Amino acid sequence: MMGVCHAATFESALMVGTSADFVANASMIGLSSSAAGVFENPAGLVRIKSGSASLFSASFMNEVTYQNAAVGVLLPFGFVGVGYMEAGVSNIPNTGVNAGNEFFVRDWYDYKDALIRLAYQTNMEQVGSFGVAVTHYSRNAFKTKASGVGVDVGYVWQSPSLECSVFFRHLLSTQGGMVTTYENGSTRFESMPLEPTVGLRYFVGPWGFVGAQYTAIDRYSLWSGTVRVYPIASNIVALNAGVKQFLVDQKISQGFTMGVSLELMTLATHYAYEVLEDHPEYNGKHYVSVSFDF
Amino acid sequence: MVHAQMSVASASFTSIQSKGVIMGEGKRLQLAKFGVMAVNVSPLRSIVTPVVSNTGVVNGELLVYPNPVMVFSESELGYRLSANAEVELKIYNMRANLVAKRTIPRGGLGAVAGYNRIPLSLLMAHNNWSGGVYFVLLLANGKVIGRTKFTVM
Repeated sequence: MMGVCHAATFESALMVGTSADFVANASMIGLSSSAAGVFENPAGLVRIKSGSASLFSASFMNEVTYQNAAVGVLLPFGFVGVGYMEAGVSNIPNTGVNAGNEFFVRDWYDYKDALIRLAYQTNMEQVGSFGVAVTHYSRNAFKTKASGVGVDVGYVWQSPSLECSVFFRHLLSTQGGMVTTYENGSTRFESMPLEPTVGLRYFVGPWGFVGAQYTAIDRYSLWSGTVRVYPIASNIVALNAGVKQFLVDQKISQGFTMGVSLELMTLATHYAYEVLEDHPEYNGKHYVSVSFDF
Repeated sequence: MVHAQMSVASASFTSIQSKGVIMGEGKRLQLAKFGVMAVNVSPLRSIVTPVVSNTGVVNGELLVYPNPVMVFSESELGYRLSANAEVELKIYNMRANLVAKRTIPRGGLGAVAGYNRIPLSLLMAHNNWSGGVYFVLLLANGKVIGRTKFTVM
């Protein structure tokens, strides 16, 4: 039977991704050039010239909905961004046991994960970009609430041909991590382990870039890599392919992503496809995103 | 110069094919909304039969009790089969990643005619479930014959 949980690891809604571009890049942190970067390495916000806003919506399996919104603006003392993200599932059966020892539905309830994130980024001449972000996580379902706070820091160094991203998710977190408080006053803890991530991106002239990323979570080492090609040596059309490792229930899984981007003047559209294995009804996830500058 | 950006993103799953035989006659079709809801008429439909609880709620569905799972308690998966049959259980997380899979041979615990109750601990290698919603598929001969969802808090 299920027993007392001592070592569950908190899984943030952010793990689903923040944009099609993010997914196409094998979920590499810190490559975003829109306000979606608020949810990633905040030092990557250096790519935004003045202001940015982003919206994201996803629906999986006709069951899970994800939404986020972020906005950021460059102020005299640095770039400040704020983002909100939520994931929800509706109509979950609350169950009981009848006289025949069979389960039945008492009523129905909804589930919601949410986070709000505040990010700050600043530049230091000839040193690089630094960022810090504070995230408040919350979870609500059936009269039970959970919450936790994590602090992330990041650094990005750029040169014309090379870019380095260093990111520490949950450098600080609330004691106990994600803390669930039940109606009877008891609590459950989900750890929010430190997740250091190092990424490198090498630009191959006007033809694109290759990138690689390493993340450590608990005792696990996760790698990902991505290739972006501009077939006509401009940003108008971009093709992406990537491979990534990620944790599923304390096991390392592999994922493959691909994508295409089209940028015409201030309008950019992104499409990403992520292979989904071992599901009898779905073979992949499709992501579409649109961005524009003004 | 003010420079601003706006991006909109969306994502969805592609349905390969609706293979599901929705178990039971539950009034809340949302339970069956995990995939495409089309119902195929097949012999599999006779494997899972609906029942009527003493509360008057029609609920032949696959269900987890208690739900939400508070982790400290014992949790089980329950469903009714009208005949012995080899079945497979798959559990997915909110990102549609498979987190548990188990094939139960005909006549084994969870694969006999009548009402079956299986401890969730038999499906997972450990008890350290992360908080979130999990989606359960019950399959026979590769086809979905039942589905439900539960929350770990």
